[in-house]
Amino acid sequence: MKCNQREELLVASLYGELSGEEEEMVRKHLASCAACREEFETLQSTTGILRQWDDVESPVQYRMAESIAETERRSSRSSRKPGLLRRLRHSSAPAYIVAAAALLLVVFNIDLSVEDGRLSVGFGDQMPDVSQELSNAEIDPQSLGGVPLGMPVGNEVARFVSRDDFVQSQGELIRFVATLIRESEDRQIENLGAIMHEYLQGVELQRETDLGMLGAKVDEVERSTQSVLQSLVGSNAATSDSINEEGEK
Amino acid sequence: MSRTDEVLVGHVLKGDESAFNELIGRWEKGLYNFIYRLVGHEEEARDLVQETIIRIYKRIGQLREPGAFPSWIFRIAHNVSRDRLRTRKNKVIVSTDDLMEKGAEHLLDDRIDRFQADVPPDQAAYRKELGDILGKALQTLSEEQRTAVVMREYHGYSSREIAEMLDIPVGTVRSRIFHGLRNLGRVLKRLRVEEGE
Repeated sequence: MKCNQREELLVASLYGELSGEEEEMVRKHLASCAACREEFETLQSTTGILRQWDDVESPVQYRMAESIAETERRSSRSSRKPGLLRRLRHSSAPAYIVAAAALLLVVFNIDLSVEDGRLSVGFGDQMPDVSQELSNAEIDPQSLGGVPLGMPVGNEVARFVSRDDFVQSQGELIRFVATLIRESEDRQIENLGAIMHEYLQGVELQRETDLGMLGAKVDEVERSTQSVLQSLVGSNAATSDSINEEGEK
Repeated sequence: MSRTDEVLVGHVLKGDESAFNELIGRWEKGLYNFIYRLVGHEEEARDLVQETIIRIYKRIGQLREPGAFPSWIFRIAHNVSRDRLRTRKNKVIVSTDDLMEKGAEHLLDDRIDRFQADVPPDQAAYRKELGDILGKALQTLSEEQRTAVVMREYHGYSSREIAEMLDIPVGTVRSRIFHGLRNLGRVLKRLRVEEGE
C-alpha cells in the first residue's frame, strides 16, 4: 500500500466505502504495519470524539418566503424609477421641487401620478385611492411636465403635500441621506481596519519566520565555531604534549 | 402524512410560498449547524443562513432534480460560507497571540485541561462546552479540510457525494478528510470523552 493510497484507503475503510476485496487488503496491511494501525486508530478515536458534538436548534426561524418575495417585488418596481427621474430632470418645474421629488421617489419608494388634475402620492406598498382636488394645491401637477404617469386602479392619496410639508420633508430626507452616508463611511473604515489588521498579522508572521531562520543560522555558526575552536585546542594540546615529550627526552 | 421535499419543491415552483417556508423549516437546523461548523461564529452563521435561504428562493427554478434538493441547498450553503471565509482569508477564530505562541497543536491544551478538571453543572453545560472546544478545534483546519470533515461526519455524505457537490475527485475528498482528522487528533489528543456521555 503506497503512501498516497494509504491515506485514501484508510479513510475509505474507516467509513465502509471499500469493496470486500479492498477491505481485506487493508485489514491484512493493518495487521502487519504498526504505523498504519496506529494512524487508523487515531482516525477512529477522533471521529468518536467529533460525534459527541450534537446539533443545536437554529436560533432563528427562517420563514422568509413572504419577505423575500416582497423584496423582489420592490426591487422590480424601483427599476422603473430611472425613467421617471429622467422626466423630472427635464421638466420645467422649479429646481427645488424636482430635487425633493426625486429624493422622495428614490428613498421612500413613492409613486406619483397625475390623473384628471389630481396628484396621487403612494407610499411603499400602500397605494390608496385618488381623492384630493388640486385646485387649492400648492404644487401644480402641470409643473411636473404635465405627463400622466399612470397608476394602478383604485389608489388613494396618502397625504396632501403642502409647501411647508415639502420643505420639512426635504430636511428629513437630507438628514436621512446624511445618516446613510455616515453609516457607509463607518463600514468602509471597519473594512479598512480589518484589512490593516490582516496585513499586520502577515507582517508579524513573516517577522517570526525570519527571526526563526536567523536564530537557526546563528546557532549553526556558533556550533561550527565551537567545533573549530575545539579542534584547535585539541591540536594545540597535542602539539604541547609532543613538545613536552621531546623536552623530557 | 408530511410531504416529501420533492413534492414541496413542486409546489414552490408553482408559487406556493407556504411550501417554501415548510421546506426551509425542515432544513434550517441542518443548514445552521453546517454553516456554524464551517465559519465558527454564531452571529455570522445566522446571517449566512439567511443569505443561503435567499439564494435558494431565487434559484429554486434552476433545480433540475427536485429529489436532489438537500445536496443542492448544502452546496449553496457551502458556497456562501466559502465566500465569507475567503473574505476573512481563513483567519482562525482563536486568539492570534495564542496561535503564534503555542502553535495550533497545543492551542486548546489549557482549555481541554480545564474542561476535564471542572465538574460541569449539568449534562447540557458539559455538551455545550465540549461543542465549543470541538468548534475551536475545527477552526484550526484549512477551509478545505474542515468542509470535507463536516460534510462527512455531521451530515453523513459519502466521499463520492462530497466529491460531486464540491466538484473535486473522490481521492481528494478522502485525502482532505484524512489530514483533517489527523490534525484534529493532534489538537484534541488530551481530550478524553466517553462515547455517548
